Amino acid sequence: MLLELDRVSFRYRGRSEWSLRDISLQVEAGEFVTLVGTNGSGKSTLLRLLNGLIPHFYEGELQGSIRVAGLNPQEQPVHQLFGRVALLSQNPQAQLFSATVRQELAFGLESLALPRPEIEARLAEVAAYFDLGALLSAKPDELSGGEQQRVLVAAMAALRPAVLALDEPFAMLDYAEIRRVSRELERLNQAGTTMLVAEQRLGPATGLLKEGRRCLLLENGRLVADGPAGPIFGNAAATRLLPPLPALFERSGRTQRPLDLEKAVEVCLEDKLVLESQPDFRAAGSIGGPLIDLKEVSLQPGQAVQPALNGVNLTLHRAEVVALLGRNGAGKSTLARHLVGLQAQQSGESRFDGQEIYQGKRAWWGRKAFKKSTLKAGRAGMLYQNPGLQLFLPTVQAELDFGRNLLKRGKQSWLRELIERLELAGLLDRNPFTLSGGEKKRVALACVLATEPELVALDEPTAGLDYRHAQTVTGLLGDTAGRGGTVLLITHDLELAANVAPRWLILDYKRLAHTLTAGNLQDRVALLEDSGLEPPTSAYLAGRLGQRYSGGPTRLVESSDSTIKPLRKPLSGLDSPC
Amino acid sequence: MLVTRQTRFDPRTTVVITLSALVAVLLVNDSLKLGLVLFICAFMMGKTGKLAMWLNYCRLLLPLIVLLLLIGAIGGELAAAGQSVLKILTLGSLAFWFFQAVPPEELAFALMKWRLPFGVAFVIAYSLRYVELIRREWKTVREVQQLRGLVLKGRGWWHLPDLLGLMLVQVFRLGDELAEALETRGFSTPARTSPFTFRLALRDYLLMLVGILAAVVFCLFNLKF
Repeated sequence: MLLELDRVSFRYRGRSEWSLRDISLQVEAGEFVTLVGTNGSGKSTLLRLLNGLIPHFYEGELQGSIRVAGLNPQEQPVHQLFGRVALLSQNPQAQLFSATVRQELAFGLESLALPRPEIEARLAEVAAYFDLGALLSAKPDELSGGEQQRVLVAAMAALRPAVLALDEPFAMLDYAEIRRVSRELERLNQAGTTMLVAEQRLGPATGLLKEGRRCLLLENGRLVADGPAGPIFGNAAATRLLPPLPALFERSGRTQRPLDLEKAVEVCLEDKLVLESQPDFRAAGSIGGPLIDLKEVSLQPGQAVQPALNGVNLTLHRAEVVALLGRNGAGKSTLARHLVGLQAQQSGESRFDGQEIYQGKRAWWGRKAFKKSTLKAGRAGMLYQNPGLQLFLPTVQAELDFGRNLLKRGKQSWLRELIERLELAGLLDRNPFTLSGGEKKRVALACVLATEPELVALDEPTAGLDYRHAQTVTGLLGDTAGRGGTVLLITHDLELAANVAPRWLILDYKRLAHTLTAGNLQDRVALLEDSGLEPPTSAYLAGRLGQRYSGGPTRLVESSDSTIKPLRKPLSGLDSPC
Repeated sequence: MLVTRQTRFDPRTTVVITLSALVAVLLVNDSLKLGLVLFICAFMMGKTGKLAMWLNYCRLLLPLIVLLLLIGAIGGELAAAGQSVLKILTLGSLAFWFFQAVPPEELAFALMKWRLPFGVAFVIAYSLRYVELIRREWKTVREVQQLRGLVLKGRGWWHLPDLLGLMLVQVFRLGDELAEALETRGFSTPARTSPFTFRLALRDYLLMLVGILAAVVFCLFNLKF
């Protein structure tokens, strides 16, 4: 047995609650194990036990016994274990510390004190294996999220560990990057490396949930299920974590919850199930007049030489939810920053409620002209991906009042509603620094929405939230539009986009490549995939069942007639949709 | 060769030459000579295509220069203040040249040959990257607060300590994540292979000697006349 945990419990120093409680499990060499669980369920803690980070780096009270590749991590220092158990933590940016990719890959090998020729041979091997040859001289912080993640996986693989443990490796990747990293993890596993992957994104592209794949389900530090994914996700305990496809079957009241698209099609045909869309999008007539109008706008962020976006023409209306989509680095955040008054354009014309958003001004020394936002504070708001950068006051209540008092905007009744719906009442006296990631996200969102900006840009508002809170946020987006606000939703989650946004803007190749409106999404699967996006599960299923899918919440209902005409071929290049 | 030395000379040679030049500039109190050194620096920057970068860097020294001139003007010692400004610009330019000439990671690992502990060498080699990361986070913090109506102007300055507190938390978070990443790749291992192979060659010794002699002559010339 490669890994053995026997009645292991752990709590971090200074904390009263246990992060792991009574965990017993065994993993054989060559297995691929997926760890699932909500925020704070103990996934990261479990992985840290394996290479000795707990208790040598993270101190606390540890009970039970652990054996990893014949060694006891409690007795061995981390530097004696890292070559056997390689652990990749969250946030790749913070883990890339070298000046070049070459040095990044070599660091671990140098720590193993391998002779120089051996290091060079291994570097050449992983560079070829992970197709990193062209990136060896590149600076790691200039790579895309997917490339950074590949470099880190390669750096770990170069150590030739017996176990490769990865903590949320797909968290910041787009669809194309997820598929690539996923393929590489499968290859490493097939080559004999034991894989343990903790992840919250469990969509088809990750390939983490297959009917027979071993899954460990953690809840509040306890291992509540251990076995093949199919039965685990057929159980009510896993409801909060269901990926989109089984979630569709679950909310349709079906007992069978297939993880695999082929299986789902089979079940639909057998049980004569058809998709029924319940689009609750605001009718076109209720969308207000234009708020934002962009004509031939080009944007060039910071000191970049190349423009991020060229010739963007765009109109956003009041009381509208619009999804802004595209692969990593497509310019979504740059465009959002432009719209809220933080990033002037290089050329073109941008208007907010008929007024130019930026006006040229000459610097006092008279030489350089620059453009400054004319947008009055409070008219536009933005939720950033990292809510930790937004909260700085001593209590949550002070945070919620801060913007409203400063900007003199937002009704008290709306704030009360936000507090209630986002379940913040119990957090009002807490210091924001002590909140979990999901709690910070909810507080930050409430702060942004409380001032009732005319335009609100939300960058991945549901990332890091569990299913219930994600549903609340989805509802709030619609209600914000209902109150007359324009919502620009930036996301990789097309399930979310399909549920709330009737119009999708897709950025690709430095331009606004496509504008899709609700309707016939089943025919757009290939277009979405080509744009680096993972189509909503319902679009896949509708396409396979020969049905129409226009977006909006969907469920399966029994059909009285036999009009289901399934397509025989898969719709897309997705190799193994779950 | 996948891991190679990047610079022509051993970084320790550049260290010795720069230190000699810095000492010489510190000892010189003649504005004309300091101006001459500064002119040579500017000329060299122009020749190597780094003039714009250097001017940008000098802009960072502007607040200090203004402060010195202000104090000089108030105290009636404008000439002395001018000389200090020249000295600061010259020292700054030498430091700029040094960090352009030697990548920090090469410098750090070369200094390990002079018994510098790996931990210290690592800080020299890699801390600059984190300065950029923190700078980016600070920019985002200011943007986020600007959208909430807080601009660091006028009464907005009262919130500066709060924002700096927030940044401090971010810096600690980054530090923790980095430390964990390092530990998982064997940072604490007692023996490791150096990524660079450095050896002082005859030309390095000669260059060091020339640098030291030039600095001594420059100082003697200044002290005598």
